[in-house]
Amino acid sequence: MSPFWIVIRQLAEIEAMALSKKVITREEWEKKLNDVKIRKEDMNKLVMNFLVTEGYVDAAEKFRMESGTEQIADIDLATITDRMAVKKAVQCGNVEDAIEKVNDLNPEILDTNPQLFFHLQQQRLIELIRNGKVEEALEFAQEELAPRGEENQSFLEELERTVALLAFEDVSNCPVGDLLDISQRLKTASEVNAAILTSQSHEKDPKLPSLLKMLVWAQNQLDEKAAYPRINNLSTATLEDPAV
Amino acid sequence: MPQQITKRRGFGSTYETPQSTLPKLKSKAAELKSKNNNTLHGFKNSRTAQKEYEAQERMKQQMTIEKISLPPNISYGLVRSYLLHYGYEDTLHSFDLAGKSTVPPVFIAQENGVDEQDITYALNQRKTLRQLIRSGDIDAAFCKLRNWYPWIVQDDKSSTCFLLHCQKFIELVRVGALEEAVKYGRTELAKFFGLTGFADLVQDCVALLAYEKPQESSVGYLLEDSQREVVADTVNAMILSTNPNMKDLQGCLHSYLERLLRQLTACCLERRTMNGDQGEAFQLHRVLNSGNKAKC
Repeated sequence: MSPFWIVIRQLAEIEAMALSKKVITREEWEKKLNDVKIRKEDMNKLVMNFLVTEGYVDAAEKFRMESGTEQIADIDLATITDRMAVKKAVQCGNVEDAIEKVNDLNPEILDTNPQLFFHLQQQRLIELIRNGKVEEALEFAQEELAPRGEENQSFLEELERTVALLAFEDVSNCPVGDLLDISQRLKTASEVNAAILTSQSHEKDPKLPSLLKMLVWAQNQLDEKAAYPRINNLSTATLEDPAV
Repeated sequence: MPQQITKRRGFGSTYETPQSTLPKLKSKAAELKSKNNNTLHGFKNSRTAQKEYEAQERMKQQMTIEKISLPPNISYGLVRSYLLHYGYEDTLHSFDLAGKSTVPPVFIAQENGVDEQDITYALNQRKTLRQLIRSGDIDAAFCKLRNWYPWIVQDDKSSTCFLLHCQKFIELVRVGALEEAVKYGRTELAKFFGLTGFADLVQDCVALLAYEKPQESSVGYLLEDSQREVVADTVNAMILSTNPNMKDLQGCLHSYLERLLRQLTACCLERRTMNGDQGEAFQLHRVLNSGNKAKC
């Protein structure tokens, strides 16, 4: 039988199942619930994750002592210091150093943020020009920035603006002089800072609310196919019998 | 001219092909071959397309879930009742203190007449017992229980006593006091051998004696913290059940949080079964160790 007909038949079966709602009694459902294995240590981790990400530092420490649970994500002092170091590096014009630090923190930040990466490279170019390293600047522009410019129109425009710096003897008076301003460094520094925060805030959100939302969603989904005991009140977690 | 006998797939018969019809058949064969290739190619393309589609659907699903709104302070409330349920007294006090000093202070409405009395019941005693059991001091735990809740440990054949005796045995093995362990096993564990429900654990406990490095054996799990946790949780539940105001015995076993997680798992599994077991099964363990990207 050709695959095509097998698929057709499967779709028909699924459709048939979808039209009639399966009824699951309280007893049957409770048996299913009892069969679920939830590990105490996983629940402890979930609670610890909540305490830490919501900033209940003292409670987290007490919980560690009372339950023996280690913190899952150490998102405190270490990462704040790192982030500040990156920001400072950019503000001082040490862009290469900053890039290295960002990658040490989280290589995905630059990978998933082409615009940020371009701006950092652009800042590097600006610093080279500022320091009078004309040949190096041109080489850098051609090898690193031009390919990015080809992929993206706005990158290209910015690249052209930056390279234009080289055309002027008196950079302080030229139309693209603002690029040499300290404010340009600050702008880039701010962009990096925000990107790091965003990448960290993903881990900064506690997992518990997401799980609760998943429960609401999972029940809504199952409602379409079955009548079963639901939990309608999350804070009391009581099962309510299916309406038959 | 040599006769050609051609057997072709799908036709299922042999026949002789006179030379005149050979070119026609050749072109027909070429036609079929290219059709097959296209179908195969089309199939491969549709596989990648399907994967992309699935990834897109997962993203859409994730976004729909994120948009769901929850009652205010629900997580806070669930964590609090978790701490109360298992008797993490110090943590609870620290947590409450912090909650009062946030701006605005966290306020949880008393729901459905669930009296806080019910779960603050014997909080300090439960915390003490948990501490003792977690540190392996089973003798002290027995002592305190005899003092505070003698009827729990009166029946030496009860599951609470059973678990405590097993744990004591395990602790003796842990420190290498094997002779003492054997003696203890003979006096306290032997009686459980014949009883259903207890036999497995007793067997595993005794098996610890067989190994030079029991922690590396198949029964090594007994030496882990998790086993102490099981005992501590059981004792905790038993004490909660002695509360005269406790209407719901089920409530002694599972915290609200646990019930919610069970419901989540059961719903996902049921949905998966109804979908012909397609897709990944939900596992809390995986959600915790991955990022926030949970799959259902």
